[in-house]
Amino acid sequence: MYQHSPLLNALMGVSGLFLTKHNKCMKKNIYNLTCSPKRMRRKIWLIMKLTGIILLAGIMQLSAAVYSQKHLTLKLKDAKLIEVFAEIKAATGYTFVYNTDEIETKSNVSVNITNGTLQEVLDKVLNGQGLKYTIVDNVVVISSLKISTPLIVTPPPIIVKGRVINEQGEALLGATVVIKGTPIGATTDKNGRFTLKIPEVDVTLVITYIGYQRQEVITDGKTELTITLKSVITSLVGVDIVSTGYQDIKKLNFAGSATSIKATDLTFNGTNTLEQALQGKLTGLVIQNTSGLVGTRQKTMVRGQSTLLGSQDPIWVVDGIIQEDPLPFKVSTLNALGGITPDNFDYVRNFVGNAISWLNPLDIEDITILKDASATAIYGVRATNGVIVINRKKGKSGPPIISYSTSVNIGEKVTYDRLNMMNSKERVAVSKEIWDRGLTASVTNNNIGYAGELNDYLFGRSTYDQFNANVSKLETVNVNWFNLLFRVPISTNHSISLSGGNENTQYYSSFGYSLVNGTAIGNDSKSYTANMRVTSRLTDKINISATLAVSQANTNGFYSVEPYKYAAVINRSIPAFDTAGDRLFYRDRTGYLFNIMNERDNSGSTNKNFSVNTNFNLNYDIIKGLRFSSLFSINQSIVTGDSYASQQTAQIAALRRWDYGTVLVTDPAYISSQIPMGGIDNQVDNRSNTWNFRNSLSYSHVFNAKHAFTVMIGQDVNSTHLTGFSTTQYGYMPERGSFFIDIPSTITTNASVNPLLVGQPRITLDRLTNNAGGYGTMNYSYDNRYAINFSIRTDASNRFGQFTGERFKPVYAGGLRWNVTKEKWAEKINQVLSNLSFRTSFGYQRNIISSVSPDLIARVPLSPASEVYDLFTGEPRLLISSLPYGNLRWEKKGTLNLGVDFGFINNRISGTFEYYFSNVNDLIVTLPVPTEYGVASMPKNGGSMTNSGIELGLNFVAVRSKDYTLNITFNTSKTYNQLTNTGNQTQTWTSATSGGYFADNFPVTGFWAFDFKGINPQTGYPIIDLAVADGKDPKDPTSFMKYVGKKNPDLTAGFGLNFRYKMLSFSSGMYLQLGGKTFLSPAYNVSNTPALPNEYDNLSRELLQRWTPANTTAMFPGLPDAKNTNFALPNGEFSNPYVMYNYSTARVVNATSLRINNINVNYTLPVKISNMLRCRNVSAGFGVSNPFYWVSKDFKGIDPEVATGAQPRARSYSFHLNVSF
Amino acid sequence: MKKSVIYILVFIISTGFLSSCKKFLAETSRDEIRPSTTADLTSLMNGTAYPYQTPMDMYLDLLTDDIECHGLPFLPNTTTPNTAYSSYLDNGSPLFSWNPSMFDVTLQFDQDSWQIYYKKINGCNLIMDYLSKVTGPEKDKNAMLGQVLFLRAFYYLKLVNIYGQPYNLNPATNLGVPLILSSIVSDARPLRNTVAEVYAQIETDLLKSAQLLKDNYVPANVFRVGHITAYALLSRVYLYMGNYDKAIQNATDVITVKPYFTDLKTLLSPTGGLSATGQIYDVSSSPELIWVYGQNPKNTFLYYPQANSFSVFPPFTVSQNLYNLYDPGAGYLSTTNKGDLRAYLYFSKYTNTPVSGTLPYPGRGAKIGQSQLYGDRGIRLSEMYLNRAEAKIRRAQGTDLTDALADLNTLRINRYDTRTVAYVPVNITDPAALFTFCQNERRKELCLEEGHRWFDIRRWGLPVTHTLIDANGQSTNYTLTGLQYALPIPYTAINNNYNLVQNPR
Repeated sequence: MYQHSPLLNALMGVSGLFLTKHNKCMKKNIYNLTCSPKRMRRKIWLIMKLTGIILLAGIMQLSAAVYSQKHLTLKLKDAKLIEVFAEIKAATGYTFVYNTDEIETKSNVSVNITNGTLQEVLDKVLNGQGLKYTIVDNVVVISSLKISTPLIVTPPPIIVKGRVINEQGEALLGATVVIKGTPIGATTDKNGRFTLKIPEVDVTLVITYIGYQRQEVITDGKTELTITLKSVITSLVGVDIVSTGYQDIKKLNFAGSATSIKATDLTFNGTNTLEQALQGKLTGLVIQNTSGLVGTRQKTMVRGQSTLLGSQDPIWVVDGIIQEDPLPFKVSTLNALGGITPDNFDYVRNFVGNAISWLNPLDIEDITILKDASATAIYGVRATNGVIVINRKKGKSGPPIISYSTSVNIGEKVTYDRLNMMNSKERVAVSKEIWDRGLTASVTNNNIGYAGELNDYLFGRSTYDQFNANVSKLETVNVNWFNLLFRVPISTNHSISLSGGNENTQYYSSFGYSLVNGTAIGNDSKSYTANMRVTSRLTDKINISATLAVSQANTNGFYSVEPYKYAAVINRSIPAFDTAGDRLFYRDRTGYLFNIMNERDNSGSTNKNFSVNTNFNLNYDIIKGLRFSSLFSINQSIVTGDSYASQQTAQIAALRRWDYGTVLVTDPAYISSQIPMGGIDNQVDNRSNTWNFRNSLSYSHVFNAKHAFTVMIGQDVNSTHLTGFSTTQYGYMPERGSFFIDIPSTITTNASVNPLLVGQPRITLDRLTNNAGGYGTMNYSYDNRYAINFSIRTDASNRFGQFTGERFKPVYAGGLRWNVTKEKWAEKINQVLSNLSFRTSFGYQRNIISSVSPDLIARVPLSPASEVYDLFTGEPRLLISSLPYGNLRWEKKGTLNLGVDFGFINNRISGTFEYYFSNVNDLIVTLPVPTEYGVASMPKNGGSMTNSGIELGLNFVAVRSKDYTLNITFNTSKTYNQLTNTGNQTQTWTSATSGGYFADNFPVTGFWAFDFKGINPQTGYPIIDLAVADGKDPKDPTSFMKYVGKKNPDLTAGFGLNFRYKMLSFSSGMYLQLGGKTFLSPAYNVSNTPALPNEYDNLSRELLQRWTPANTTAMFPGLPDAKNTNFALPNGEFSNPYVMYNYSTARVVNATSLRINNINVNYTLPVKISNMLRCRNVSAGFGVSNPFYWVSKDFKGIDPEVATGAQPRARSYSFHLNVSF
Repeated sequence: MKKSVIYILVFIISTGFLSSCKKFLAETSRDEIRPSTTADLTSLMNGTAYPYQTPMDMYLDLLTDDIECHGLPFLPNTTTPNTAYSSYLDNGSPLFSWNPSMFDVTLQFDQDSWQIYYKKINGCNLIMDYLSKVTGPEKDKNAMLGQVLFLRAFYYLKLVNIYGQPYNLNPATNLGVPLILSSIVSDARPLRNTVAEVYAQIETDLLKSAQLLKDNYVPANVFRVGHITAYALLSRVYLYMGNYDKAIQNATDVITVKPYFTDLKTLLSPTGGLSATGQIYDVSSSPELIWVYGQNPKNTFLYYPQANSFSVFPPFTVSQNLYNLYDPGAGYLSTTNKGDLRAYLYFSKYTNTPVSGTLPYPGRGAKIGQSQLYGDRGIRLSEMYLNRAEAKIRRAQGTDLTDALADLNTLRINRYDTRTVAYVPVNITDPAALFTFCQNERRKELCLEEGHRWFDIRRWGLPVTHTLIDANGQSTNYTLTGLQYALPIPYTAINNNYNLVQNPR
């Protein structure tokens, strides 16, 4: 019979009818057994087997806890027991197993029960019949009271020993082994071993381990077992529970759009922040690096852009708590991708990091991005840009496990080879050409380089021979600034964690240290993190957990010095050192003696970020299904930043008005200087205190084993208090004990107030933000096949000037899901189609733009003092904070999401396909307006934007065997973004070239370029065709420009490859971009007016092929000089051919590229060896990031980032080692 | 028990949420307010409508013959140009050479006058539009309306004279600037109004302002405008318009009410040394001030180095042409008779000259503010005398010429060093000579102030030639043409409004 059980099992799962038939045959068998003692034993033995079978039958069913909830009404008079059972079976679907002979002898019964549970009915029916029943899943076993009781109570104690390993043969520590249907169980030790007393010879053991497939083993009398668990074939979405931060929902019942990744699937090495590790890993998440410097923040975007004015950052949620930025949001800084001159404090801000920089990436368990309205509605108005939910690791019960991991990362320096800049000789030749051709410019600089030497000769300060000698020297200088200012950065990372606990209380703690060195000398970051979490089950009903995390990061950066920018643009014939080997100073643009190394050594910025995050979580199960949860957290962060420049820098010399050390204290220049001694020091101190208190009541109930309901209501209040100050002080002497020297209060000769003392007050910050919200969610699922979600939230805040009329307007969303493969009929094909589900969601979100208001808001000027009070009259002054832009409303965004999850061949191929469409109405746009209105732009609800996209994630397990696995992942997404109804746009050629010109029937990032028609062979100037197309309005710049394509790629895709051979694994990530056009960086760096190359600046080597009188058929225009002037374009704007050339068809390239992001190799020591080393697990690995790329041939072999004007990505190598004990 | 726990929890949550909600969500801001009273609006007017210290058009002096160029000075004892001065030369050169693309490049903080003035005009319009929305005495509201009408007219007068041709050249057809009379920002692109239309608006606003201020407001100090200020500006406007009767009448109205001149010799230190005890814009010692604003320590840093911070000639200084107009008396070093004190008190002297023994060169000094105590621009009584004198010479009816001469002598007697030498009144009878004398007197008195000289050059059609010495020591001569009277509209303004017709250039 035992041999039949798998078949039986399968059949039972498929058809209840078949089962009943089969049972009849069993009944017959049982019937044939009579009651002799010997037979009796056999009979018992058989019953036990039968029980085993029945237990197995339960596998396919829902949890056994459900049955008691079944209600039925039964009215029978003087009926046979068999008839009664048949009735119950008809009403409930439960199958009965009994000994027919025995049942036949029992007396008839009468029942009259209305809406009773199955037990009530059975209790009544079997009362006094000498029978008992056991319900196992859908099967009711009826047995004789006399015989079974003593026999089950006294089984011989059997001890089963076993070992749980994975496919690689590694011992699994902490695997759970439970006797099926009982709470009896054990966990494995570090060797994977367990010992279990089993009540019967033949029981089913259920072995579970996170990340592995659940397995059932029938002991069948064996006492030594080796169980090999197969790891779960993870789909892209490795987690079966979706954590929204507010609740955990079974993926089967979740209709929204979310993607998760486990921390184990992310690669962290020495320089990576969490955001960098996430780059390209999750569909719909875009991470952009804004700077190559260490410690700077990345820009993160979920599913593109949905607002034009507000913050585009998603919110970060750690263990349910929304994380606030350590510094207040500042529009100009965060939206800037260049073009905005940083103020003193931006140098600090850039290095502070974002809301989650306090988190040690190695403490992360998993990360989920919530993308659509249905998933994010519960976060209310703040979540329009998406939500990233991070769950940190929790302790696991078991003996203490100590894990240590360390990594070393070695970067590569940027070299001039990649930059494609001229060498000294080539650059001097350009200057020579300027002189030889007699070119002139309106602004010149003639005191350094070739022009300086020439000037000296022309003014008789040097002889012709000296001049020639100096020039040939210049030609060979070739300073390698990258060698002088950059280094091979070596970064290290250490992290140790301790976790463990018993069944009731678990703990996890970790300590991390990382030292990250930037490639520019002087840029590094050191951070320490500590994290402690305890979870405890106080009683059956009460669960608590508490977490404390502390982190400190110190970052050293630059102040007013940009080594990369300097090295990339400086004329390489300006020497770094003089003949004696000392640093050579030259007069830079400000007119003061300058040497970048001196400037760097005497200035800098240091930033410290200290934060403490605590949270406390309580769950109280009031009655079954009804749970009260409370979450309270307090976070504090202290950011102190200090940026300074000492008196030895050129930037202070410009304030002082003489070079360091050139003036005596008795000189008039000293007396009249505003800062005769000392430098500048800027300090920022920001403290943020945030508390968060959330309470919710949730009720879950399952009716008739099929209807599962979860309803939750809750309330959420949080408050953020930012305090701090920023101040600038002069007279700083970092080289003299960091004290401050007084600077003169007046400038002596004319007794005027020292301007440095004016307008540099201490600016204080004190901002309290309170938010309160109420929310509710409802989830219903039917038989795991169909699910409905709904959630709603309303918010209000104390923010000044908010849209008062719109307070408390709710955000709501809902969704539907159909799990096709959970349908009964689909089980026939589930060998092929293992998973298929469809889901759709729709919701409305709102977005507040905090920088605009419908009312006139005046503000007290916070700085400087002369702004607050009229210095002349003493009267208070107010300035405009927000002009009254009447009728402004919140932006309203409706999002529709359609998704399909699929898996083929036991999920060997699995994936997710999603389509989303969102329409933002009442979009607040800043319209550029005529400056005659007193402002250059105004916000208006005029716009609407549609945002749609498709996302596809695929996971393909090509090979999975004991020794080999090959896993390929692929994700791609495409966003279509269209601004509609933006109102009256300003149409300038700059908006047409930047992709900001929105025209009907053109993609939103479509752009135009000037039509380059060649080079004038006489002058070398570029020829631009400015003919206005027929029938077009010449006021429209596109009438005389050419449409060249769109900036967005047609397709971007990420590939991942994982290959394992025994203990050696290999993984690689690639990024593909197809289509899309971009401008190359300007060939000639001319601003609005053409200018000859400055002696300070180097030029791109492209220009070696420029037009010269000797080379009139060149590819690149000749040098721009003063004769090339601005003229009016057909639309009235002024520009000149060189500016237009930079934005002409000649500079448009195809941006298609394929890039290998990283290659990693990892080796895990075999268990035997690691056991010999008294370790549980030892693994080590090696990785390379940014090793290769392929780009379109338009780039002519130049690094694509260099060609488009960005810092090239440096290759880096990392080594890591993980040990756990 | 279980039920009671639920009830308690529900109670705690709901009461906790509802009762403290209002307080928790009370709108707070440390630094922001919604203006609701006339007092709030007055503060807002002080901040947004009054010019206060905003630098608005400091570059206008560079366009005139009051400034000359010296190129880059050499480093001491060398022939190497001192590049520390490069920025001053670079900033000033396009303006000094009336380069048509002077506002096409990145604009310095004072050069986008278009945007600066229109921003102030928006501030004025905002106050006007909000008067009905705040509570407070009607008198206060009228006083505010009078002030902002004055200020708006003042700003339009500047704009139309910077970007339009002078009024005496076809005002009905020449383009001025767009008139924006409401604070409502819209995306409609206004066209340029004609010069005549802008002047008409200025006149209407000033007349209304004068009446409102007369009935409702007495300024507490010279930094706020009263009806006398409105008369004074009207006299300037009418003079520009060639309406001599009204120019004379308004100037007379001012002179009658506020006849106090500042006698410059009272500003000299008792020893007659270089340092003055006060300056012409010193509110504590100069009674002739009618309205004062301005003063920004940054003023000097763009085109002119700070006084005495360099030991050599900077690229731009006050021209010898202007300086030589002043009567030197017994000589520069005399302690008893310095002649025309304006040469002495209006300019700072750069004391460290490259070659010892030569005269110190005049820098822009005492007339432009260096101190926090008072401004350096505005309207002074002397302008009223000069307006009246010029209008009378132009009108030339009855005793006009002798009256004009008397006005000029009254001005001069307050400008000369009369401590030891008596002032000798000038007597000119030839109308043309008198007009030239009046022009020079106006130049000497109002130089480096308010852009007066530039506006006068335009309306008088005076020839100006500039010699620009570039960084290489190369000299180029530039001659002012009539087209250049209307400065190019900044690139940024046309960028946002293509309906603006650029001035021919």
